[in-house]
Amino acid sequence: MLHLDRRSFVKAMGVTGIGVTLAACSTDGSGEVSKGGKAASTGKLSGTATLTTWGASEEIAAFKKIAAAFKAARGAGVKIEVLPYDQIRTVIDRRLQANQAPDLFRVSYTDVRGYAASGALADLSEYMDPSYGNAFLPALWGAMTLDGKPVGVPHQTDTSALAYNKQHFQAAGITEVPSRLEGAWTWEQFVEVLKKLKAANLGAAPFAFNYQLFGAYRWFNTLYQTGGSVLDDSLKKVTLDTPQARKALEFTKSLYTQGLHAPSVLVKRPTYPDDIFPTQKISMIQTGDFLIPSLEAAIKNKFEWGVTYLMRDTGAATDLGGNGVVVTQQAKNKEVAAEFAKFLVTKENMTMFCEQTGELPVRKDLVNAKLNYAVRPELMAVFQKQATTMPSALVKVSTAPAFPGINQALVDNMDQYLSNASSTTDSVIQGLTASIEKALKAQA
Amino acid sequence: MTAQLMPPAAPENTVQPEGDGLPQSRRVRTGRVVLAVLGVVLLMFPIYWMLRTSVASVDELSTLPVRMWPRQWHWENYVAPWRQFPFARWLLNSVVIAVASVVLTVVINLSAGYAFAKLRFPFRNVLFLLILSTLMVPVQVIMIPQFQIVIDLGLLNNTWGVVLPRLAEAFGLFMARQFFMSFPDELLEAARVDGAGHLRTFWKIVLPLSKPLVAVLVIFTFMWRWNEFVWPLIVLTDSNSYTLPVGLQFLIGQFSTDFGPLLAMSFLSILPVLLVFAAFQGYFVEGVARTGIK
Amino acid sequence: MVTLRTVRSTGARTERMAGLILAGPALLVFTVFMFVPLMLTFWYSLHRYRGFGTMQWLGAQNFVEIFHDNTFWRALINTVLFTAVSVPLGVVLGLGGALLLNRAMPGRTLFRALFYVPVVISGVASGVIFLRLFDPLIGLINQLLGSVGLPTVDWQGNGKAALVSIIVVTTWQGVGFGMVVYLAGLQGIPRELYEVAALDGATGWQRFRLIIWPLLGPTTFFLVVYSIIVSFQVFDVVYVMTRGGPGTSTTFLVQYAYDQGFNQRRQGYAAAIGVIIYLIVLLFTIAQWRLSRRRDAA
Repeated sequence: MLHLDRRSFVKAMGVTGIGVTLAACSTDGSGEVSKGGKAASTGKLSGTATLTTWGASEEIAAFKKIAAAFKAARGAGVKIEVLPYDQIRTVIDRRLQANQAPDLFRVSYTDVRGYAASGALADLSEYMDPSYGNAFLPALWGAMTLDGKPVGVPHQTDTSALAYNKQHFQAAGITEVPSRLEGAWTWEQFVEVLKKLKAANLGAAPFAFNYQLFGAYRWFNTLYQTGGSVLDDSLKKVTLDTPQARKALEFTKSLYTQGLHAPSVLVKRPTYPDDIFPTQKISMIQTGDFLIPSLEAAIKNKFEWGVTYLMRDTGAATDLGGNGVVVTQQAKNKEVAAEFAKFLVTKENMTMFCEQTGELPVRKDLVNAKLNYAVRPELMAVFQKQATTMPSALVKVSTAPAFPGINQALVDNMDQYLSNASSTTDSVIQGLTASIEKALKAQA
Repeated sequence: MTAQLMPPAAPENTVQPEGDGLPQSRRVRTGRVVLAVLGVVLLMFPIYWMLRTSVASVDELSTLPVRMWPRQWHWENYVAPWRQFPFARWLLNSVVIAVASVVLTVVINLSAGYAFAKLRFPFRNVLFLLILSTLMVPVQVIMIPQFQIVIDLGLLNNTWGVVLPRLAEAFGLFMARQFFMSFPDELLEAARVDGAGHLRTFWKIVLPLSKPLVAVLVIFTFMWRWNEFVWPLIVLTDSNSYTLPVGLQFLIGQFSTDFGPLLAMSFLSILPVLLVFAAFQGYFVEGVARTGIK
Repeated sequence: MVTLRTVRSTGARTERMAGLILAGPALLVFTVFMFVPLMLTFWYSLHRYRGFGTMQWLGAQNFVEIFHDNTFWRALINTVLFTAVSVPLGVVLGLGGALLLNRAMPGRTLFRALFYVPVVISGVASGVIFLRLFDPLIGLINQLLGSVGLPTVDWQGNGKAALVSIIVVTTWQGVGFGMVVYLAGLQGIPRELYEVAALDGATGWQRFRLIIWPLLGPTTFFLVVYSIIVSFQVFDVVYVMTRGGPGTSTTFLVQYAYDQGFNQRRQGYAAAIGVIIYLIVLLFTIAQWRLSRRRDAA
């Protein structure tokens, strides 16, 4: 039903230099890539393991369903433990400190290497064939390895596009939204749309970004849309003092100063636009595909809403989101944990998980596949196309070990700039550069 | 050195329930009643609004302006979270932690307060000063090593990991010492001449006379431990072992803008402490005057 | 038959024993959970420590970094600012409440109890209650402001407004406590003094200025010191309502220490901030001790 423009998507993801040959894309189709050796993917296991995760109710349900299937197939139980999203990292950290870590936990691609570098994660080499990783998009498999050793499996990816309130658009006289990626709004057109929304006086803020806390890096969409970058190709030098970065910053701030962006939706506080959009207090939001099921559940029949492509400037760009699942060094039952991780990303289970949760698969053999998304499949098509605009340079930065520090730099600096009219672009560039340099140094 | 923190307690015979006892005109009195009512309205309104919002549905809350008085009562808010979250467990955890803390705090502070006030033992004054000097230390100063100690004792994600570290709080000890300082020495000496040992004297004579102190310690410790947030947030890492305030924080993330169930659960979480307060409010208000918490 | 002499000689020893037995549990918990952590805070502050992995010796580097850390200074200024506004506010409102409810009036006990109710409500629940009231888009406060034609306030996006909202909540929480403390103080003023003043023809204001206020000196002193300690530790309300944002507008020292220690994996740095908080509190303790000694001497 749906097709991802595979060539450009794979190009975006294939940045580790390994390159993607067409041959590598085709597996035997059974979803079982690894066979033989110690990496037994069949046979009975005993004991139990715990997977700690956050997630929307659809994600939790999908995890539980897969755990039940695992129990039936392999005999070992996996307990799915749910924590709030904004606390998962600190809770995992504390348990690691206390030697009480869960066997597996879900972690964003941007965080994996931070954990791996401190020795918190298990080397899964003995549970996986050397060729096991070939089944996945190279950049994302790369993110799950440290010095070539796998510490987990890539699970799904997601990206951002624009969700809008059709009633509000109608009331503001906006009759057309881009239906093709190539026809996405330019920044100027986008601002015109927001101005119309504001003029229509709908009692709502026209727009809000989804760059809160751990998602702060989603601001890089804007930066890369205008040709800017965070780091140079060596990933060692901060490249924010450029006309492009300046333009991106000033564009973002101008949305606030012109009253086009919801003023209370900033970076540091967990006020998420997808929570507000269903109350019709914001007419359009930049949002992730994984939120489609929960948005649909919250909005129900209150109003009609659609999704369109992100605005673009000199180019289009969207963020690399998504998560893998890792096994901890402290896991009491590494074998069960590793086998469950592999079970989670079989072709069949990944397909089910993505279809139920509105997320994008990361197996090469699914990139081209038609998925029957459970909720609003027509919207998912937009996200799939949008995913082809992930800039490869951004993907590379996003999986670097220093990325959590880079994200934190945004959390620490952006609010001040966006909410305070007298704060200058120079000072925020200085602040960001200093914070990011500190993060790079801490990794070195 | 922080002993100076407490003003001298009012001698009991000067307690004057009727204030300054001066005659006041009817107009002045009416004015004061009006002011008091205004004050109460201001202070109580947020609580009223919590109750009002707690019976509102999502639709009602997203339709502005929200009405001052609910049109329909959405009691579902009080029921649904119990099914979705281990709210009963959180309640139980809070009760266990509060009760254990109260019992231990009373025992420790009563006995140590008496020892520091009436018994001579080596380094007594130095030790007391040391303890007193921690009266003002915020928990955030010591939380990092304290956390490591809790881990080393194997108490992470454990009720005792929450209870034990907070026993080291100088307030209760200080209150107890002040209380026992005012005990007449003659009474204790008479008991000892009668052949009672120090421990027996403490048990037989001192404890029965300590009821006002115990009441105040119980009430305040219960309130503080029931409401405590940051330390349980650090120590409890499993949503099944949360206390109510930590669980509430969890719900904020889960319900986000669905304030109905969130405020319903907030109200339930403060209900026990409100009931305790309603039952013992005399001790809360007058007890402060008697025991020197002031 | 026990003679007085034997009571004396064995008395000192048994007293020592009894003292140590009774004080023992307290000494144990204070040692393990207060004195040792306090010393370890200094030790940790000289290291880099992520919580897991190994500890690295840094010397004074954390303190050098703090000195150049804008967020730290911002948090310090915020803490001082918050204290400077909320403490006098609490004292004045507490005294007002006490004076209002000190004299006989119908329903006085009930009024006193209701004034005190916010004190017993947890910081998290208070935060949730006011989160809803202060919500810039759907909150009642902006709804009311709008309905009387006033401009609405962005309580979460505007730094000053966010700080004001925190002060409103903590004041709401604290008025009852101040009132009760002052009521206790007022009870200590002998009624005869009022009568003498009334005979001398003193007005209400003169009575307040010449009798009540000076005699409440120790009470005010206690309340100010206590409130400063409390305002230095405010955490729960901020955690629920603003997370220290927008930017660093409502980040106080204790939030910053928590955030660095448990969110940014910088436990050594957090300990260093803890050391500085401790030093500030120590200075403050010494200052208040001196002040109160001077009071007593006067």
